[in-house]
Amino acid sequence: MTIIVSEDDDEADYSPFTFLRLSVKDDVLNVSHDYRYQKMGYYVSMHAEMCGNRVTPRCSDILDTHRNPLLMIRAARAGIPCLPYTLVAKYERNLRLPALCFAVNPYTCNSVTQVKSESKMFRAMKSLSMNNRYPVSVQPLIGDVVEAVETFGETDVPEAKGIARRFFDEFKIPIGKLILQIVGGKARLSHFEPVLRKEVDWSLVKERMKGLRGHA
Amino acid sequence: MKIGCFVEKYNFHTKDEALALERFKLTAVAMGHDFEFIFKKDLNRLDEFDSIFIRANTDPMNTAYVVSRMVDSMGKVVIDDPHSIRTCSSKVVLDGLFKQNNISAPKSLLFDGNYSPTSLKYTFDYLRFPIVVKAPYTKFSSHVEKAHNEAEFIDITGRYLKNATPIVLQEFMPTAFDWRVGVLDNKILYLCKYMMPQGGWKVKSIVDGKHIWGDTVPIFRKNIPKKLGALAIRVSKCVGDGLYGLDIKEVDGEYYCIEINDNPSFYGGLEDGKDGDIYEKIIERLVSGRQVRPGSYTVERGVAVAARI
Repeated sequence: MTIIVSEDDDEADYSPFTFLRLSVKDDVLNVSHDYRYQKMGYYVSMHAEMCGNRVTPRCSDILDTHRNPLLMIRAARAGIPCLPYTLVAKYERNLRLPALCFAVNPYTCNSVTQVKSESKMFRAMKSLSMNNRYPVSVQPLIGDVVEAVETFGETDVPEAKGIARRFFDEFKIPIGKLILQIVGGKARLSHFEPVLRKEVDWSLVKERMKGLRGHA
Repeated sequence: MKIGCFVEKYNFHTKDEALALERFKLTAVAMGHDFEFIFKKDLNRLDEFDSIFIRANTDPMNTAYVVSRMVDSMGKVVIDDPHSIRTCSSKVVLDGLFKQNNISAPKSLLFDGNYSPTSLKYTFDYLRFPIVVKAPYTKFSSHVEKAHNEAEFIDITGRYLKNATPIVLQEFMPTAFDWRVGVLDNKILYLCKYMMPQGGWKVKSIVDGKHIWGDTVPIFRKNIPKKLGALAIRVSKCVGDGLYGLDIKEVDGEYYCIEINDNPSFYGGLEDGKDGDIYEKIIERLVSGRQVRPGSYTVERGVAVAARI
């Protein structure tokens, strides 16, 4: 197996950019804290796919996790407890409050917005939809909002452990941030975001890499 | 059958594009189908339709991709399909696709911002000035600029690298026009010449400070040069059997593929100027029940490490 890691890592076979210049024929594990479209993490998976390789994560899975309605559809089908969502094209008066809103536009990355009043909803919709150019995913806000950094299906957040495992089983995204709501002591998935480099436990990643090398 | 056509308001801004959309609708109705324009406010209604035809700009980060992926996951026909959008929307991906399939194309390099003297010397020696710098997300000739020297190169690449890494560098290949070859189901659908405007070097150029489009010259598809047709089909087969528009340059009787686009433009009187049956063929494909199949660049179903973690 060929391993690509976005950080300097002894276990990595190539840096991401070097990998893009090669035609490697092998299973590929692409470990990055940021898989957003147009970023290096995405291109490594795309390049691996174009070379005809099996790759973790796949581009379609990356994109699905980064578009809230696609994430919700697939996660729900996979049996992950999720919040219901509505796609809204522009501000509407009768949206249920309080709500948790997410941008479905190409530019906004960390867009989790808690909305508790009509006036804030108006401003949030205007901002997240970029003046009604893009839809916004709106979910009911019924619990405590929690962030959980997922690393190969593991997380430090106790309530999120089950979802992190199932999320990884379904999407195979090695590193990411899950946004959850804790409702009655149980976690439900709301959203996914890339992780900041400093938020990643790189020693855990390294340990995982070593484990994989042992299996290879 | 009930066909939904996903559009945005801007699709109706020019009368030629609005005319083409109206022709799609009239053709579908004449063939006995329902045809409804749908907008982003209708995203919760996608399951009402048997197939979806996307005319809004596609890109994995646009609403159109969400539509495509949702419809595709319902097992319905969608043009453009998500695989084609993912492949065609990024010039970085196309660069890799062409290289791996030995597609005849201008010389190119990926650039990640390595401005070391060795890297720059190699780049400049290999591509020679002027160098065409392309952002991965370029559409309609936007975000494509020509660097004539090192200073311009650093300026342009610096701007593009702020939004995407890597970007594409390409040798400059001046021609009076680009061939536009429309392909559906891996067959030639229509043929045009997209002329460069006078004083410009791209189909949409800035001349004297103004954005100017070159003319479009339709040609009967039966008259397509054999080598050109063969190249277009070969490239389309790498992506899938959907609807594509290929931009191809001709230099001294040789053909060089610049890009393959999903979601190709249709303007009334231009792309349909010679072969008026293009609407019928696209509607037939939409109601065929056949989802678009990925081409020779296919994604393995499995993932690499699932069983090991």
